[in-house]
Amino acid sequence: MKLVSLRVHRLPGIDGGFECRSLSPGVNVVVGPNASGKSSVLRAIRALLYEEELKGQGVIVEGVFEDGAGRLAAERVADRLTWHRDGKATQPPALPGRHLLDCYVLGLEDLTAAQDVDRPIVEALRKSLAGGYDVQQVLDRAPYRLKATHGRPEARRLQDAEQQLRQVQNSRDELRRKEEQIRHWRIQEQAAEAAQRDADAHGLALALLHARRKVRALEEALAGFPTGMDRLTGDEDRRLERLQDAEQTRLGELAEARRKAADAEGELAASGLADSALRQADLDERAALVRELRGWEEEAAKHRETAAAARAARDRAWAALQTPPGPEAAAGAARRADPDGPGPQLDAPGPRLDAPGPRLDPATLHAVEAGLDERRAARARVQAYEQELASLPEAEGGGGAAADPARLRAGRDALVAFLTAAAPVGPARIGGAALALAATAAALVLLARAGTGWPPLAAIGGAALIGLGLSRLAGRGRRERAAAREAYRRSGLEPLARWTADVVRDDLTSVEEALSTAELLARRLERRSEVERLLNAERDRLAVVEERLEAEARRVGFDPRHLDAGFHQWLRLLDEAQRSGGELAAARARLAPLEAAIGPRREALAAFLADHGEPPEDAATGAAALEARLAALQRRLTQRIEASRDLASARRDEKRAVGDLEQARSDIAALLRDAGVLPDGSAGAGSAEAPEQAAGAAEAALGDVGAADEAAIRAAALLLRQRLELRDAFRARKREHDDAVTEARLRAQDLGDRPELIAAAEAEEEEAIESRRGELEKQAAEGRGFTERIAETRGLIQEAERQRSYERALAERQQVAKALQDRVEEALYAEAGRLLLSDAERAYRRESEPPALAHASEWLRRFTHGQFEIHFDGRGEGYAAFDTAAERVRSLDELSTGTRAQLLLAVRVAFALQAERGGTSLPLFLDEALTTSDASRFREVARSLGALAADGRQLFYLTARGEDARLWQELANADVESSAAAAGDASGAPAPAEVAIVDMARLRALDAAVDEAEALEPVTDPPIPPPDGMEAGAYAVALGVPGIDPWAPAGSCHLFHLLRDDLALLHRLLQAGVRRLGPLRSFLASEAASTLLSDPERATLRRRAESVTAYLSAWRIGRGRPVDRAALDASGVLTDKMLERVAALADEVGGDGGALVEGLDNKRVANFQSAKRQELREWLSERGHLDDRPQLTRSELARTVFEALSRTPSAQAEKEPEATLEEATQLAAWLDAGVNAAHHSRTSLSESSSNPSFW
Amino acid sequence: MLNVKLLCAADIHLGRQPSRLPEALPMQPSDLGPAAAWWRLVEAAVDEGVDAVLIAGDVVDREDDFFEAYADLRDGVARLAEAGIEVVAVAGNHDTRVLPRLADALADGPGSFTLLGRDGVWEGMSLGGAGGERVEVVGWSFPKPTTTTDPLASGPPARAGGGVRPVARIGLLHCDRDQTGSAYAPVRSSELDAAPVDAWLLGHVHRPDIAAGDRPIGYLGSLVGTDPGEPGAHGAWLLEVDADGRLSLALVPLAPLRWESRSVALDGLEEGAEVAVRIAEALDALDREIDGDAVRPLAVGCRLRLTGRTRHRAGVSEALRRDDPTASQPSLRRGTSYFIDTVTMDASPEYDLDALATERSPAGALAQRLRLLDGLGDPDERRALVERARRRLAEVVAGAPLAAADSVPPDEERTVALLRRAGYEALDSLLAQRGEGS
Repeated sequence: MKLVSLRVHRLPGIDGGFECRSLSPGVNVVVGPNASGKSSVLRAIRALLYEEELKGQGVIVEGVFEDGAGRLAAERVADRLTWHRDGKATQPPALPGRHLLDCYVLGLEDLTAAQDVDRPIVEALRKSLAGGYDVQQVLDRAPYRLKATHGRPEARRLQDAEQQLRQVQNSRDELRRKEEQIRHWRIQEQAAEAAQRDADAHGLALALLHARRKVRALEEALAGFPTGMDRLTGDEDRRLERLQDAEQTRLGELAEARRKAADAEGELAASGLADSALRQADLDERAALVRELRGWEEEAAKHRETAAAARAARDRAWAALQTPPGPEAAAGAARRADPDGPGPQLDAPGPRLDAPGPRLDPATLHAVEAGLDERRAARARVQAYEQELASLPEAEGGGGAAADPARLRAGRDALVAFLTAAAPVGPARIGGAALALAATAAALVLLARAGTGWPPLAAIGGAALIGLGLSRLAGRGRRERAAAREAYRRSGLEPLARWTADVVRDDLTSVEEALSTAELLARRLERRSEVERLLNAERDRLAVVEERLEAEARRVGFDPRHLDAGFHQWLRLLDEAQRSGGELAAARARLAPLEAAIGPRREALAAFLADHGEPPEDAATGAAALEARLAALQRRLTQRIEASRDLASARRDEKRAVGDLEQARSDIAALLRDAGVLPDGSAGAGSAEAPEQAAGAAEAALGDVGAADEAAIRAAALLLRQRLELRDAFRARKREHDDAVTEARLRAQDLGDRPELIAAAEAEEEEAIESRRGELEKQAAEGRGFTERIAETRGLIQEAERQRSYERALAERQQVAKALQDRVEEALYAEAGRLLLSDAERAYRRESEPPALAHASEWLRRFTHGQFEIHFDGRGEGYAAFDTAAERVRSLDELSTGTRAQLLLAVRVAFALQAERGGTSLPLFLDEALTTSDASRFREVARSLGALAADGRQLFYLTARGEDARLWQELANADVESSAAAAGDASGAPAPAEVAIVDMARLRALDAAVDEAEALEPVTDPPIPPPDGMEAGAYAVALGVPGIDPWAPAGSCHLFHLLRDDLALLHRLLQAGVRRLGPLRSFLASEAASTLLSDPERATLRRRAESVTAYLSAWRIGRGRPVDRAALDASGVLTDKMLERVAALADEVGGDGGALVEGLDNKRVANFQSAKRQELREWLSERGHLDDRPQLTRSELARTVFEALSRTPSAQAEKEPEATLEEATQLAAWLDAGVNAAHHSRTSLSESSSNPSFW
Repeated sequence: MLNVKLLCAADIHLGRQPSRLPEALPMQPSDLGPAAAWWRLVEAAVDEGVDAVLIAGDVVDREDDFFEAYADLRDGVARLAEAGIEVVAVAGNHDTRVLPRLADALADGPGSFTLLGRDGVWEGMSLGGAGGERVEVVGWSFPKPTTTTDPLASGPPARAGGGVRPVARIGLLHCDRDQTGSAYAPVRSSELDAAPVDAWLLGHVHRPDIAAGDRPIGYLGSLVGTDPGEPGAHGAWLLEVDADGRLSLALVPLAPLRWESRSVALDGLEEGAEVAVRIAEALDALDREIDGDAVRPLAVGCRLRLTGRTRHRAGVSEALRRDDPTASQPSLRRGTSYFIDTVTMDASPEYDLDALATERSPAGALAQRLRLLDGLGDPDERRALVERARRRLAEVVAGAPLAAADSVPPDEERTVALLRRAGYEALDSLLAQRGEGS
């Protein structure tokens, strides 16, 4: 549906009305300055199409449309919209939903950002493209999604490990060099050692010289000391003092010995035994006799005591025996032993019973005791039997029959038999039996009648049998009872009054009671008889015992009548009296010989004591007194013995003291003589006398030491002390002298093989020796360093062998490299997965994307000459642009305003067309939508839109810019030419759309109308010059070809660099708007490529496009990405102040990351901390600004291009390898030139592309 | 008469430490490396009472390692000398400086170390067995780290005539066999076969391929595999020569570290987490295999490849991410620590890729690309896909910070492998979103 005319009567925001007639069915360019009413045209048309537009605003608009069925008039009056066809009201056409109206009305603002209108579009796309999977979810997870820092720690560790390895290698190299030096150092060392030895020899010579001098000087000093100084040992004064102290000690000892001798002599005299021959043995013998005497005396006293005790015991027994009922003899003895009289005397005759005679023996005593016990027991049993007998009844002669248990037992049995006999049949019992018999007979008759088979006669017979049984039973009972009565009668018991059961039963009770009584009496009488028998027997036994006791009493003299009164006690007293009498006699017998021996012993001892001045008081003196005397004598004897011993000891001490004194004095003299201060032969000499002569000599020496000798000794001692005071000085000199002599001798020995040095020393050539030694020392010192170096190097080698730091550094580097390689593998895997999945998703989208999206993408590709394609990811804003040059997706925000507008234009137009499918089509309105596009792009968009118009779509383009109108005109003219040309080759190209210019200013009679002559003059872009035989370099200059930025995506590479050998093709592509590699790839994928390019051309372009990519990837190896201010800023490492300085340095080194780092290491930026340097280095390394790998050579780059060319499929037949190699070499050279041109332009600040010779 | 016993090794690479060892191993890396293996060899030679130790080059890893590897070598030779065992070696490309130095240093000594073929000139020497047998060893040493010279072009010398002929003649050589143009003494197998020796003990290639036989010819392999690229049993070879010159050869697995690759079939898996059980079972089986070795390794590193067919691929991947076996504590089996270096998912899914590829969905599109990678579909499309991926992957390895790894961009084969593995895992994840392939 196309608008033919529009008449605005009333429209808010515009004064007056206006009318647009003769509108083009194709393109209508509504041009006019601001506020000229361009937008009113749009608003008026919207109001004509939808009642909801401008509602309540009193709009009055008329419009005429044309559709397939003819003209259609629309009238909008206020809020009422009516449609007429051929003058008749008709239904409104089937318009797209009002919500899609914005898709038809595109303003600049609408196209600068996605609007709400895009949401339904996005949703529609999303639904269409979901495909039931969330591919992005897969891509966002492991193993396809890697961290941004993936591999960075490992790369850093690898860098550290390599640095460590280099350090170790350097260290090892240095060590190796040192090791190789060891041999040389060893030679130097040996020379130095020889020099040192020679220097040492010269040193010895000097030492010899100095020693010799010293010997001489010390010899002179020693000559000034007294002679004999060398005989002093230094301890003479101490030894002399010690000897003199000893001399005094000996004198004291001599005096003490003599005093002790005098004391001993006094003690000897005081003992009174000085001249006695008494010996200790004599005394010991007498002491033994006294001890024996004392034993006798003690034994005699003991026997006396025993006799007295025995007599007392005897007397007490006798006294007790006198008490009744004692025997007569005891009574007589008791009478003699008057208790009131004195006790019996030892010498008095004892009682009769003292004499030996029949004595009570223990058996007798025991037999008497047993007999007495037996008698007591027998008596007790007799008494018990007698008591029992008294309690038992006496037997009565001829007891009554009733009391005869046998009769009673017979009567009882008869009565029981009676009662248990069959009971007599009495009338009652017979009546009962008859009744039972009758009942039984009746029952039998009834049974017979009842048909049991029993005849009535049988029943009667049975009853008769019962009666017969009863009769026999009654007969037997009578016989048994008769027998019972007879038996009772035979028992002799009193007859019964009647023989009825009751009477019999009563009598039976009586008989049983009588029987019980009779049986008890019988048992007691039987017991009485038994007790009487036992009593008699016991009485017999008692009589026998008493008879035996009486006989025993008579035998021992005891009155048998008193057996019960204390026979046993009497026997014991008698035994005691007999035993003590015996003891008394024995004691008397032992005492008599003792008393006979004691007297003579006492006398002899008393005589001995008297002989030695210790007489006892009398001859009866007992042993105790004799012992006291003997003890006194012993004390005196001991005194004599000790005094004699002390005297002898004192004599010996005296003799020893004399000898010691002599020796001390001799030692003093010897010491002084040894010290050289006492002449030989003076005092103290001659001490070597024989020992036996010494005592006598000593006696003389005690007081006879001559005064002259003593004086000589004192003088000698004084002289000795004087010399001792000089001794230390003398000895020091002497020692020095000896040392010097030794030194000289040793040094001379040391120099045994160097006689010339000995001679020089002896010749006192000190200066010459010293000088030579200095020279040699210097040589040795110089060589000593080699020894240290050798030792140090060997130590380092041992340390290196032990530490294995090289092996560990290698292993660490290898391990870290492997870890990084693992990260590479992960990254490759992730990239492979992403690539495959993304590729599949894109393919699916391409296959499944809605036609509208496909159209939109195609349009955008055409609008942008292949530089951009629509990318729909279903997220966020939904669509974005894929930058074919940069080879990455750019969001709307990342696009230029013009590109964004073109993208949204393409999307909306495509969807508007989609929305109206099957319904009424509407014109498209573009409200300064392309204002921001350049002429070229404007032309492309306009051409696309013109194609739409040519297809029948009416288009309104509203603009304030006159040049826009010109561009549309130009496009229409060009299309006319094109269409005419196409008509010639019958390609079927559509006829160009007609373009009408609607000048609003003129339409509304405004002042600022467009000057058609001026403003609508066609303008064109600068033409792209054809090569026309130009050399490639010149053509590059003419085109203004930029160099190749090797760090930019390959897609940004100008096509010149790969088509230098086909400038015509290049020109053709440029004219088609395809300038760079990225758009070329997109272009090659489009249908347009097949019309513009032949198959071989497309194949060549594909191959070369891929080889450029390969070349640039290879070129980057070993080259760090240039460092610029932006990169430094992005690192985040630098402060603003430091950023300026470092950026300046980066500029200075041409962006070379390695040079920048080196410059920083060399402090070319002051105050830049080392930590920051390291951090920046790592960042630059991670971001590819530093690359330690070796760069590829030109031939390697050419090989890379060759490989790329070789592996890219070609529609052509496979090229010969040589031809491909040649092409690769040529292409690589061109690319080198391109890269160098960019580099040159960057570094020389000149535009290299302006110099043809450069290319 | 007793046999002549020679313990032979090559590619010891003293000074190198094994890589890819987990930190949780109970021993130090140095306990598992060439130095430890060298000392095991020394002690084995002493214990075995061999007549000599023969080394076919690359004794040290770095030609400038004059202190650490050199010290190990020197001390080991001294230990062998104490036991009366001679050491005969040729220099490989790694030890053109160290071995001559050692030979010079020991020249004044008891003659326990002999460097044969110095300066690239064939040289021979005799070794006497305990019974008086004589074995001749001929060898050639690298004169410099690289040489394109074919050593066999100039030797070895013909067998000497007359005198006391040796019972056997052993060739000791470090070379690159059948690698024309190699900078490491290239030789041809035919030349080796034609040379007048009874056995060729070769060094340079770390994977042993020498076999016992009448005339053993081949690489002895490295003494210990220092990375997963050297799998299997490594060690020294005991070569015995009897009085009649008959040779017998047997591997003595001395390596303290061993690498192995194993496939773990996931068929019949009940759930993803069960993969841990399968892995443990695989290690148990491996341990049973190793159990027969006379000298057990201290540690065994395993590379596991998950194979078979399972519908729990995504679950397995998730389980491996959750309980990463490569990060687990090494497991101890009879004194040997087992650890897992890598686990590669190569198990096939149970879904029908062809049917999936007909689905109009991202999963369908992904399945189409996997079919392409599997060689099904348009070869041009496949080539374009692979090239696109190669470009992207090349940029990955060239970009910072990964560029520091100096990795070579994946070639086509590796690119396809990466795409397949990552693609299948991505497909697993997509299908898991709708409850399939979990």
